[in-house]
Amino acid sequence: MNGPDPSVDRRAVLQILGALGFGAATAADLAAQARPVVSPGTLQQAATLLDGSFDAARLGVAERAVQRNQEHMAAMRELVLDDAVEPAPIFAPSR
Amino acid sequence: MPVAADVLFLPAREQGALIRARKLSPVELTDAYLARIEALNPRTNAFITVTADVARRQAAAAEREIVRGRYRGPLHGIPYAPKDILATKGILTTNGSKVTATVVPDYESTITARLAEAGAILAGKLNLLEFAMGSGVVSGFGPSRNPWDLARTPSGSSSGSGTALAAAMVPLSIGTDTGGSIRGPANFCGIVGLKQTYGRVSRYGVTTLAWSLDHAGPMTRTVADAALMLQVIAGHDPSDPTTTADVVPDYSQALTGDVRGLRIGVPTRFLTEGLAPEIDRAYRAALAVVRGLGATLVDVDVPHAEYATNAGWVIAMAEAAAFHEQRLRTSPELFDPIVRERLDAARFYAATDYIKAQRVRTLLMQEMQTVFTQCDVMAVPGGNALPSPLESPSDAGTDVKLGSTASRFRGGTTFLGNMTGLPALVLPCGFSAGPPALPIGLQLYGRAFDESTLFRVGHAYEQATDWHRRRPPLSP
Repeated sequence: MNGPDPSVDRRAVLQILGALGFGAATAADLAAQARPVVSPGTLQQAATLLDGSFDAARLGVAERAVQRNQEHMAAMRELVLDDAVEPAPIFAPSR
Repeated sequence: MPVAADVLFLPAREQGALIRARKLSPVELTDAYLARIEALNPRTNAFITVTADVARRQAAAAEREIVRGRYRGPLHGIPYAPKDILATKGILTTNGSKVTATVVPDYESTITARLAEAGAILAGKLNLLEFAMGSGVVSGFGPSRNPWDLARTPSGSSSGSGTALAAAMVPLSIGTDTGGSIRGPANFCGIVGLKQTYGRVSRYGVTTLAWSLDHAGPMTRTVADAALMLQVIAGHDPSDPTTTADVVPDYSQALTGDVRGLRIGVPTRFLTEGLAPEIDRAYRAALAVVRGLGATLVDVDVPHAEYATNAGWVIAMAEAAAFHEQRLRTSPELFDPIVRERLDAARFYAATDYIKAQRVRTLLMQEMQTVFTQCDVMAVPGGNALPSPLESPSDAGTDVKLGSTASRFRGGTTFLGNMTGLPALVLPCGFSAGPPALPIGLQLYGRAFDESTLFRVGHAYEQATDWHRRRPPLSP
């Protein structure tokens, strides 16, 4: 619990790799590999917080899928949005 | 008198004209479709339920009414089949899932109720990917198959609708579209699919995938038929508070064949990248046809289009996981493995991811507003690949295929429509060289509630080409 934070700032990794002469695609691939890996332990803890209904088999499947989701979401998480951009309005109080 | 096979391939609009003129019997037309369904369904698996008795009863009633001079309109006496995710009172509604395999609703979806009121004949309920998000292979009722090559997928999730229309098992269908599930099968099966503006058609009685992205709309063999169907199903519904009270225009007025003066937007990046060569050629050729008809092509840009699918996926899966929370707890073993995997994984999204995705949605809406100051319709490919072979059950069970890697952006041209709520129409614009020759589609995006302009462009293109007249190599 008290070990070093495994998270890596992706932009910093890309900058370093770029400075070392790696192309953008290669740098992106390497940066992806540097992203934290979802472990069975972390997922088990998170599942407990949800409601604890996952058995071991489901948790194993979810572990791979959550890892994949992390990779898919990386680009969106890195996207910097202007503070003025609000979530899309899907609640219409007049109704 | 037996109905000739050619009549089954006619557009519903032409069938309706024959019925109105008493040159075609609704009973005989319905019997002919039922016979074709019986002959082809073992190979195509398009139908989960065939409602032959209901159809024959409705057809007989339609015939009696028409003979007595009580003609209800252009869908009177025309068979159709909705995706089996629309509730039909007293008729099995499975959602393509073992979880709900025996559910018989005691209520009717607004769409099927409106079609019944218009005199359309319910021929059955069509196969789909489980809960509109499964594999289509391991789902509860097995895969539908693409009539252009039975070893290939018709895409999904409205898979049975795409299959049934291409194979002329029905002339009309209703699909649903949360990220492209009407437009994908239209693209892969060489038919027409419309995802109209969010709020134009009621979703009451349509099983939810994701509340803020779900649409249910027409799937047909021609653009004019899509206009006919939308005319019947569109409009405010007190049972669906997202529906607008705006007046529904007369869509038939848009079928002029004239696109002179219209500006067609062509995205300069993202939505037109990564295309299979044959798709790129067909897309460029379609643009040339539209230009030849008198429209002007203009470059447009949707700067954050590459985020649409990733952000849309987060919203769709998060909302779906919330919708299915109780079923996942009580009967997880009944779900298609890939549905369970997706929903389980979605429970680990952070709330901030969902909100970020909704902020991306705002950007996309703003960018599309800008696009439509520069053009009247934006044209993009229906998809970026040809129909692929059906997956093996082991591959179909997971998104994390052995040896696969995640791409930073998922691509695709359809999620943009669900994220913005804007209408989008897919229609055939070519075929691969083959063999097998496989359909290629063109997708037209329009302004909010401006389905008319999509019909105008799509119909004009259709009149200038004959892709929609081709028939798959499939006979009873």
